[in-house]
Amino acid sequence: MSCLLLKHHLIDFIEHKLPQEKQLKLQDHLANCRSCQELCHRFSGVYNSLDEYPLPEPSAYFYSKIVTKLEDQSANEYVLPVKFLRLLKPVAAGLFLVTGITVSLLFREVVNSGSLVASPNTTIDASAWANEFYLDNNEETMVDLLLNNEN
Amino acid sequence: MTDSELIIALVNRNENAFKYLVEKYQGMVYNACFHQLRNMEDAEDIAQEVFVEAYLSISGFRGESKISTWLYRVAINKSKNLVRKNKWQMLVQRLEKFMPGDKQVKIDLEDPSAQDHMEGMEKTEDQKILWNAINSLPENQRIAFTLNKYEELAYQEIAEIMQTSLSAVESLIHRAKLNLQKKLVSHFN
Repeated sequence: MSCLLLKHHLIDFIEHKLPQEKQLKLQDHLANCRSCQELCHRFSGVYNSLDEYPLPEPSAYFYSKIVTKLEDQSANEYVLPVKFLRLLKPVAAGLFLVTGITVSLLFREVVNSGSLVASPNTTIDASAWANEFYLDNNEETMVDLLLNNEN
Repeated sequence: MTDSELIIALVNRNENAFKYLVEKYQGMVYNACFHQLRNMEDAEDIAQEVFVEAYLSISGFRGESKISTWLYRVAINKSKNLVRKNKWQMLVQRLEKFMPGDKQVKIDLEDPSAQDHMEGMEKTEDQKILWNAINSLPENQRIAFTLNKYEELAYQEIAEIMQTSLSAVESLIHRAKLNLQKKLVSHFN
């Protein structure tokens, strides 16, 4: 039971963060349990291993590199319009596409509404054509027959 | 120089104040980045970006927290973004391996699981085991745990850095420790 308890509280036990009673109980257990001693020793070795090495330090040119980055950043601000234009390209392409689709849909609607094509029931006035195009009587009759589908 | 004096000087674009800020906090920011990224070059690059952002956005700093807390927050967020970006790139590269028909342009990639997370440092087997175990923790647990163990920050400050509640931090660190325990104990068995 105590072996299991130790396994569940290993980190807190190593860091001495357990309530005193529990800490003492596990210490007593550890004194008598060889496998738990080994586990605790191995575990604390790994768990504390990172505390042992010296932390790396930033390079000597740390500050000057920051200044360079800041200068690059401010230089890039002038390039912003180009970047902005680049960003606008897909937007412009999208707008062009939408406009094309809208125009074609409108055109289709206009065509379907019949304002561009004479409906089958429309009767064309041949005499108006005759006046407009200076047709003689025979030509007028021909136009009348042809356009109004009369036999 | 107090924090508020430093902020006023930075807002006025005082170069000496910025140099002072960098000198005072570079070690702290660099270590925080290093503990998240485990790569010296990336840590230095991100730490520099933290100061660049600090310089550019100091006017937006409302002074509700300490400068150090604010810098930690920026450092953690930038590191988190890089970790995510690297993971995404690894995923894409892995997928590219399986793409048919482009064997000639295929790059010989490292296995991400075999990646050296402590590049540029000498390390023992124990340290590698611990790094891998910490690295496998969920993101927020990893951040809270490393800030507590390696930066030795109080739970309240971690809560401010992670912009969460104190109880959430307690829970994150508790779960991180349980997960680490489980991973390390199973490694020894």
